Amino acid sequence: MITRREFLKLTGLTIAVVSTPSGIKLLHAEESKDYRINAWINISRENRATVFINKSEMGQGVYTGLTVLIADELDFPLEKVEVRFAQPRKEYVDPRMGVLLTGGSTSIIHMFTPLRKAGAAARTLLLKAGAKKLGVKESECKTENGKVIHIKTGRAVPYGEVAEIASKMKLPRRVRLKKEKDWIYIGKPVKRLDSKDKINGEAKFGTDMYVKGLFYATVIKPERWGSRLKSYKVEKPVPEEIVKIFPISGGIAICGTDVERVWETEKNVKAVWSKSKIKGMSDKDFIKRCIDELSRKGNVAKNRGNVAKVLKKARKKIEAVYTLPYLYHATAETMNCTVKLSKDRCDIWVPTQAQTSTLRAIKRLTGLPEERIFVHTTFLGGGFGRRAAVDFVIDAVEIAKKVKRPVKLFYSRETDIKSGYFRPVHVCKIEGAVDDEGNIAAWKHKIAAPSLLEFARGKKYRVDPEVVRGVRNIPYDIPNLYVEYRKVNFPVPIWYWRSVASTHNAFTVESFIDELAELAGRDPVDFRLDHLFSNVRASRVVEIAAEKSEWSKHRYGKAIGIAFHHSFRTYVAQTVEISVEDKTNEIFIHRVVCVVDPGPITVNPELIRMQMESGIIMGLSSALYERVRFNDGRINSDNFDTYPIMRIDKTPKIDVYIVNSKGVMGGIGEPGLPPVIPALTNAIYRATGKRIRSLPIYS
Amino acid sequence: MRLTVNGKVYSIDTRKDKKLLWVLRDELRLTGTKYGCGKALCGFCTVLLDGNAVRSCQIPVYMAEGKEITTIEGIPEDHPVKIAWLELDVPQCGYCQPGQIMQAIDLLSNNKNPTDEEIISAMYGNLCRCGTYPRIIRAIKLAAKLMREKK
Ligand code: FES
Ligand code: FES
Repeated sequence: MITRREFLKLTGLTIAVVSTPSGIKLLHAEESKDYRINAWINISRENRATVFINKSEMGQGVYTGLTVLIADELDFPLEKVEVRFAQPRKEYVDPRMGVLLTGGSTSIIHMFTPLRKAGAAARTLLLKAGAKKLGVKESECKTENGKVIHIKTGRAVPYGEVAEIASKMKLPRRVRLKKEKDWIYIGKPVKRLDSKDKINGEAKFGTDMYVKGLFYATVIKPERWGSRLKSYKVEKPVPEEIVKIFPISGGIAICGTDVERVWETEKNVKAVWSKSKIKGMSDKDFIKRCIDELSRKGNVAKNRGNVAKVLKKARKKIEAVYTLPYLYHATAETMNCTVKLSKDRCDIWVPTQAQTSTLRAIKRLTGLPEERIFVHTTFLGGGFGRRAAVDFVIDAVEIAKKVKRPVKLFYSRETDIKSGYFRPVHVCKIEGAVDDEGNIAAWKHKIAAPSLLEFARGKKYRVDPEVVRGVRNIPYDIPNLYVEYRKVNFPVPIWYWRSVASTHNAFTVESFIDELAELAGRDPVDFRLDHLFSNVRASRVVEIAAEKSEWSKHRYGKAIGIAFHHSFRTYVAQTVEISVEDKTNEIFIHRVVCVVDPGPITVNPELIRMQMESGIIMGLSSALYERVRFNDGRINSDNFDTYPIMRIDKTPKIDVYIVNSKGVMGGIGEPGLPPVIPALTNAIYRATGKRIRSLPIYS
Repeated sequence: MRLTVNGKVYSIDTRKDKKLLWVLRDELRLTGTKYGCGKALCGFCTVLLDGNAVRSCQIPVYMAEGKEITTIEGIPEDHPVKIAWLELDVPQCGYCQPGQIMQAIDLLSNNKNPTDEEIISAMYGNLCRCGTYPRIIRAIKLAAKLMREKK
């Protein structure tokens, strides 16, 4: 199977290097009919295009979204495009990140112009080559649907026939991009290009990659994070399919020829670990520690006006403590990768969000030069941030080095949970006051939580911006605002989890807004709108959400909650309509209305809708059920029975409304998630009088 | 050991208690069927055994001997469920989708016109982390309609 093609120009001869899991094959020019127009686009003699994208497809739709950007400017029919994932090479870096990395809801924003330019540059060359072939002036021709057409006579030549000529031309220095009215795909609900393969079971994920002679491998993770391996012994009998058991930096590796046996053999390994600081702690103890730390001094993240004075004098004030647990990403596909390592080359087939980090990790571990390391990105069975980490890549390469055979590292669900990289636990205390007019007079917000960036980047932060985001820059007009951060680090690995700080801060801020509205005796929508007065885009999404959900209409037996959050440059307001059964306290979620303002351009409205639906369901799932359990410092969630995620039964009706506005382009993969959590708990309050300040709701 | 998968007979030499999931994937390289939990909790590994949806991670391969095994690769592209799935662009990451489709086929073979409640109870065991549930419900209804019209 061909996973990747690269083209080298050697002594004037085009040679395609086709790298397959079983080795490398060189195809000579006669066999190869693809011409490289530029780094992003190949066109074959048969007029089929191959485009290379530099972002990972984990469900969010870049496979379609980015391809559309290229094809639109290239004037090329989508059904004749094949999409490949690019290698981490200089020509493919995200220009704003300087690396290949998919995260932060930035793919379309960062690549919107570069990929259209790549398409336009290729089109310019093909137009020139086509005109030459037709023997007419370039200015008398146009391009359409993969062809160069002489306007007057209608004579046409397909790109494929002039691709070879175009591939030898110098790329234009400047290109002109289409006007918005001339877009053929951008802005339209183009169907997903990956659906068909995914429906037929043909899409290749990391777990679907095989290399001849491979060993399956897993890693026993530390019993408790923060401890190191002291010794281990292997109890007999060990199944005959097991080849090797040995320590690596990430734990204890087990290698064999049968994946089930490899996983089962974990129980044969009795390891002794050094003492960890978290021994004895349950998940409640992590929260408790953070609550205790609230009374200690932290660092000031924001100080506007005079909060202390206003709070002291205020007649109407309240305070509340909110707590949120560690969360597991629970990607459908567990962490895995397949590595083939030889003396002078390394190939890795990996579902990753971070190709450049993968490359650098391999370089560090093997000493190979970058150009001898090939990172073949597969489809990702979910990412949500987890796959931006390379812990599992390091495991696999260390194992491959030791066993001198190709290795398919494959975590069982149990190991996947034990491997950590959780959304951090988080606690905050908010004190607020309203004045006699019913407006917010002061807001004091103190967070006690681990620092995500200290773990992720290994640097020190006084105030971690990834912890206070959404609070420090709270969108509401508040004259006196004080935000403080108290760092509470634990040795549990933490990581980016879809929407990052916004999953904490949308919940706490938007819950407290409702608490203050009640204190002021105001309606939650009016109260928000009054405090968003100077923020036109925010007010608009709130207003439309209220209107579309018929906010002011009372429905018998039902209650509705609202929340607004601005994250990843996108504005989202959501309402959640629920009912609660008296006897069992069971929550029924009937309808979610989502109004999203992603800025001036909607590249694909249907993909936006999908991402809103996806974020809403993941948000509801986390609010209702999700919490990593700990017992005596050990991770005590194992599988979907002890880490339940939402099933189909809680699915509400979801109505998404997209409104565009002037301003910068916003992200889509993450901003749909945060507001649904407080919108739900605000609805529960209105239904039952019970204020949820600790998540998950069913704990 | 002889195994009939998607109408083809394979003769394989394998450990008898190996789970069907791993035989399909690692030996026959029918990788459309996915691993998610190994404990009948997620439904990603769903295949049809004599027409009934089962979790292949729970079935020792010897128990599937002599039965008709159908995997996602064995469902024709013009099957109403696949058509409906494509029409509504159900998959996001796609990892759970083969299992969802096999489960939906099982449901529709027993119930030509399922209600929302029936869909939910049939699909309850199939997780989707990407949250494609709303589209799954719509796609099953569309597939049911296509199937009724075909008759
Ligand atoms: S892998 Fe079989 S049900 Fe999850
Ligand atoms: S589509 Fe990703 S888990 Fe269902």
